[in-house]
Amino acid sequence: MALINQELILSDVIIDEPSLIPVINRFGIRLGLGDKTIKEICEEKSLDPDFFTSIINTFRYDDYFPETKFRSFNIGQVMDYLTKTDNSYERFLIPNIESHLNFFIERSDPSNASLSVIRKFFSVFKKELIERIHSDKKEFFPSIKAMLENYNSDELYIGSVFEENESMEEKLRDIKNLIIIHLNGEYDQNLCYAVLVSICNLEKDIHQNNRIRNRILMPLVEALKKNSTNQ
Amino acid sequence: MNKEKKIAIVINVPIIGYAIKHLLDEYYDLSHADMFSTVEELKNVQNLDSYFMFISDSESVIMNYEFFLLRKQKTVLLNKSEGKHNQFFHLNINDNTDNIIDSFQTIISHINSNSVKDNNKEPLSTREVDVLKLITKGRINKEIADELYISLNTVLTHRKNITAKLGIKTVSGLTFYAMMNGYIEDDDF
Repeated sequence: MALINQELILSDVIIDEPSLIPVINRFGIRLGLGDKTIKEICEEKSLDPDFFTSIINTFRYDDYFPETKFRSFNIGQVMDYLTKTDNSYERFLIPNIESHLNFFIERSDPSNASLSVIRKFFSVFKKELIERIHSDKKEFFPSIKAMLENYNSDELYIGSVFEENESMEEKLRDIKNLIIIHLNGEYDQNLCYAVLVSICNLEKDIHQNNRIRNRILMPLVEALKKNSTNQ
Repeated sequence: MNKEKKIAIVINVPIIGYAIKHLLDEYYDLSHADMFSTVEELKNVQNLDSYFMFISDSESVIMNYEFFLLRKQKTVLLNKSEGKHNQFFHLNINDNTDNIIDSFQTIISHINSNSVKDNNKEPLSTREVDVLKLITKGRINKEIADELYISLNTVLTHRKNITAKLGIKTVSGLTFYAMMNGYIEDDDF
């Protein structure tokens, strides 16, 4: 295991771990990466290379979470990244799962009721995730921005980890387990696998983003709230 | 499954703890290890007994003998040399790496066979089905206990067993499981 640094050639990193592609897409980086280093690409795209490599490493390595480093970044950068992540869930990852799911159900045994149960379960999950995304866009992130404009940085005390409700990750895990452990009747196994892969990708992505939300954003929000009530 | 088993490592030399954590992950797929520098820190954790294994240096075990004795079936003592201990599993950290890896194999098998939990996915018992149905109706634990004339603790135990047997944790998950298996009707969604 070797942490990714700015001198590396980005295409090498991606070849090693293609699941990072949606992540780099969020920064506006498209494939056809050539042989440029991460530093060069960040310069071209006006990205902070430090922030970029921290995000990539967080995704790549489960053990890696440079909390202090993340807190030194501009919180606007973090929120901007989370906003792009929300957008990619809403516009790509969720529709992707839905289209695999629909195709899977269409092509399998129509009398197999367990398949439509899986689809219903996914709709329940989707509803919850979309609600959070919309609340981020309309209420949560704007309110953080407003608080940031008013705070006195000398008095800001940032507490420890905030344990947000993990129900979304748990639901996704249950959907996956329901398919793997309890699926019954006739169905197309290859299309089923395609569904599972897309669910696993979303699960991993949400997990990493929840780490960033819970350990960087939420403590900061609590500190800002305390600070604004002290004024 | 190993991925869900949690390990607690109590050690005041972090890098050794890290090496053990890495070894367990690499060779035994035990990826969830929490590190503590003192037993006091460990004792502050909620749900202490959900740990599959406790690994600790011998001084900490001696200083907290009763605590570890209660958990001797899953405690591993780290020694600096070869030596036997009657009560606990032990490991010589100065031994060569291959022997350490092998020793863990033996220890893990013993802990697995000592544990009461049955890892086979059996179907649910009648009582568990009763609890499942009430969960899907949105009842909270206290309400379930009252309706079935059992204690709150019993409800919690049933829920833990249900999750262990089915691999499903959330209320929605259990509801859809129940739908898939005909325990409830499809009309609420």
